[in-house]
Amino acid sequence: MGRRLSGSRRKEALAFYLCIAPWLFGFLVFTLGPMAFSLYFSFTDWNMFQKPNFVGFKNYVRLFTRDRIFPKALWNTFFYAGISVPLSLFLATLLSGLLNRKLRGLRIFRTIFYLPALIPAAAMSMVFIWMLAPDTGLINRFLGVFGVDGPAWLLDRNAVKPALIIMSLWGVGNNILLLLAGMQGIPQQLYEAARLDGAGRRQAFLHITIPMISPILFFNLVMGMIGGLQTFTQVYIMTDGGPNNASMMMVPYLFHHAFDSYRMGYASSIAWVLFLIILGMTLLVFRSSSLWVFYESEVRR
Amino acid sequence: MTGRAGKLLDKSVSYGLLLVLSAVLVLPFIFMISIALASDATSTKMTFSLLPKEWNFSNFLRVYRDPRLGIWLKNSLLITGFAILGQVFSSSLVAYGFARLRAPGKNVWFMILLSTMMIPTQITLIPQFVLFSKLGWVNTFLPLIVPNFFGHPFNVFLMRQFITQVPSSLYDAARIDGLGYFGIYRRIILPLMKPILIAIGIFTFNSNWAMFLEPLIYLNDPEKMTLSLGVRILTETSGGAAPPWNTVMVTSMLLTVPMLVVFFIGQRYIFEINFSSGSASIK
Amino acid sequence: MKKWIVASLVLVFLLTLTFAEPVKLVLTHWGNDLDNKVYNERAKLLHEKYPDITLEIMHIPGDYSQKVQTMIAGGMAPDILQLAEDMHAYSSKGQLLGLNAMVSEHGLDLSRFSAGLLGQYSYKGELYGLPDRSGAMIVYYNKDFFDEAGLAYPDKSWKWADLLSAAQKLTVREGELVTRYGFAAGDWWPWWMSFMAQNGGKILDENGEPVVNTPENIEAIQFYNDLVYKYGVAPSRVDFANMGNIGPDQLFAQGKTAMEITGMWNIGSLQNVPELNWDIAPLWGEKVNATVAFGSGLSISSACKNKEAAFLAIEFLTSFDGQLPIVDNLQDAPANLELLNSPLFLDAPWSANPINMNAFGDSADMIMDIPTVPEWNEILKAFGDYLSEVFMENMSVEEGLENIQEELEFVLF
Repeated sequence: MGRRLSGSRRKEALAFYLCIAPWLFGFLVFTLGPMAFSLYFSFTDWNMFQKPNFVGFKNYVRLFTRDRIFPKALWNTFFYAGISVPLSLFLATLLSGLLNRKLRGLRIFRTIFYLPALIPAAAMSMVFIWMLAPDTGLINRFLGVFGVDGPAWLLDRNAVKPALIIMSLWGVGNNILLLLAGMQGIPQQLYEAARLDGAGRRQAFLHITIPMISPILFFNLVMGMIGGLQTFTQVYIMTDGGPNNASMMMVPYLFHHAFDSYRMGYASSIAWVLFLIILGMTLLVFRSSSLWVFYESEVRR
Repeated sequence: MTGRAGKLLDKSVSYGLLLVLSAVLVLPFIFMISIALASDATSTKMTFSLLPKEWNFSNFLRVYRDPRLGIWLKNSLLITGFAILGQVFSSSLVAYGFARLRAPGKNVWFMILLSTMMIPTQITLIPQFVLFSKLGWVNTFLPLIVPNFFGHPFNVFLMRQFITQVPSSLYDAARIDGLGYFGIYRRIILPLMKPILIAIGIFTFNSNWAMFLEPLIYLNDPEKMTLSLGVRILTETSGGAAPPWNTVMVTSMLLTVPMLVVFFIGQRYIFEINFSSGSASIK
Repeated sequence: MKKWIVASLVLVFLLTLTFAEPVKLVLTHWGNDLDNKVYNERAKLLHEKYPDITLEIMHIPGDYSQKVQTMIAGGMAPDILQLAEDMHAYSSKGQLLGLNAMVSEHGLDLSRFSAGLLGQYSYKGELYGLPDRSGAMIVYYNKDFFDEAGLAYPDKSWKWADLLSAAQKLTVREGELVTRYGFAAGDWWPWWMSFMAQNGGKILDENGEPVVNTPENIEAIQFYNDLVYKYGVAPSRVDFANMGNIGPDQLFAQGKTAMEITGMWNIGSLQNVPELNWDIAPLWGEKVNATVAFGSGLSISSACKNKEAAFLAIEFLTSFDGQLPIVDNLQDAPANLELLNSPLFLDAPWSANPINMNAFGDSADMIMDIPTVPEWNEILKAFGDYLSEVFMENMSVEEGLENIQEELEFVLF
């Protein structure tokens, strides 16, 4: 700031602000206000109906010193997002590689892979509760084939998070869609050149495909993280955080405080702690991105 | 083991893998169909099987013949259509700015853009409702449509990632041809990004089509209800009764199938056009 | 003369102001299509009785409390709300109109409702809702299984020992495997809470202090858990999950349990299973008879602009005439005792087989006063957390209730 911009740079900056104007306007009008209010509420005892009273950092102090469930919710959220997001991304990359070939019936396969991501949560949850049944469920019967005695999944405090992670893998289609779109955009010449250099398919995948789709991997990682740390619906419908909060996560927990306990102020403080965590992690990922994300245009500049 | 035999083996391994994975991924949907076709007695007892044993297609008719379905469908299409329109135009423009144009404060604005996704919607629901009620928009489609015209961070970020991949040689050429910033957006970016715009269209369709909480909060009249809201009426219970599972699955499929069709048709525009290769621009 | 005319004109004007001016009220309710139909029919009856009052029915299909809370917080509160156990979360925050004054003004005879329900909808001596729908939790039993075993059907005079011995005789095993249970319940609050009440146990004392880890409650939950693990006459949570994540209602419909406790709604569900030979009876007791009423009340929002009209509306909706559509449409049990005990309710074609609809009237005097304090949802959460451990045998009953006690002392600060 404070530096003078040259004429052409000023013109470019003006164009930038004109381009982002729609978002900027929407942000100032529709988003900033509600966000600011929620921040303010986090310093009050607002019960949603009556005038809020300012209580300083009381909510935050209670959250970190006296709340029995919050540390659990925090840990569960990290555990869930920390495993399901990378795992899903890894699988999606492999599957996209498989789908990124000239095979018959690709459109059918792609549709099938995307299908689970389209099923409404209530229906999907019902199906998965059934599939995760302790002895008779499909998943444990499958494990039984290999002599593995599967846990009681949703009823077992040690297995309920893995159960939710397993379920999340059915949503892999969302990641595939974009990764595949990125792979289809890689110029064929690159592969041809690699083949001439004697590279095999695996090498080409590792040294051409992966770097070329790294911007999309980066996108999926950031979005997966933002979404994963805000996991709500599956928990809300399938376990309601149980058994004994073994699957309680941050957003279901703040939802419980907001709409079951009428502690909107307290719920807002949970939301802002979560906000800071996600923001911090996103900044970290962005910082690291220059190490592994490959932008064609920026390299050439 | 090279040449033809190797290729054949390679292909059959790929097919085998794809088939197994498809079978696993499609399982929930097959179970849904099985439940949707179950009789009321089976539904009450919840003695469902993975593969359909009963074929009560009348369950579908019962739901599909509901006279209100037309209104719900119309409302959903209206909201979804405007949402797609708004997202495609606003997100692409904003993304172009973030991807290509240099300006002081750009990175900060981009972080702010992303950070609006980091606060759970459950917490901003009420302030937002207050805002829209002050505007007099409650019980109209406006709270569900208008915000789409200001871009969504997800779409903006996604577009930005693709735009940054476009080789800078293209821009240089365009500049030499005398195109301004908005000329580049219109002549180069929009045509090049068509597959991603279609992807964004599909995402926007899906998220608005299945959206439940926002229509529930903002719409009051029965004739303003959307499909996802309307079909809930058919499956809600009061007291502690279990939902009629066969109807739940029929309505779930009613919601899923249009999204599936949109994807099935839309995918060829995403996957079958080779867009960011150097040659695409020359065409 | 002129004065007189002016005076009468003013009077007429005032009358029109208070009454003749058409009033539009909004009522929110949850539930399905049938519920919506019944509320609309009742609104019509109300309009016929008071042509100046129009009641608009707003159906909220899912996430009811979230929508209603948002409406209130957003300054667009409905005039009349259907509310249940969490009523006092609203009343304690000044969002509902206290009804005591208007009840006495209008001379509304509250004896048309059961005392237990009025207790549920009262908070600190003030009534905040008129009971509207109320089906007590009752026992459903399979007549064929009882006849086979030569047992007398369940009735109000049963004690826990009778329940246990009947359940033992009715349980059928093939080796280790139970093919038919004598009894089935689960982790939902009406089940374990009524057992606690039957043993004279409470959750909160008269002063609102938690009294969870009392000998009465420990004994009740122990007995409840023993039915599953000690006597093996009722399915565990794992058993339920293994049978396709079903509940007692489905188990009963499958003919795999001889008894279950559930609400009125199951009568309708069982119509889908005509081959089943069943009937209903009021619950048993131990020290006292106790059951939970499952229903809802009608409350007036404190933001309502026409409180007088709103009161007339809920007064009529909970009257004999105003509740008729509930019975005519076979929707639910009406809270109005006169209608509940009338042939209109008792002889209505609820079921293809004749059933003992008196079970509901007979339950009216045993409806327990559940602790519907503002923190109701948090009490349920504390119980849910630790009972899920107790019911899986991860924790002893004493330890579980001790933990709940501590948690409630923390929550009710």
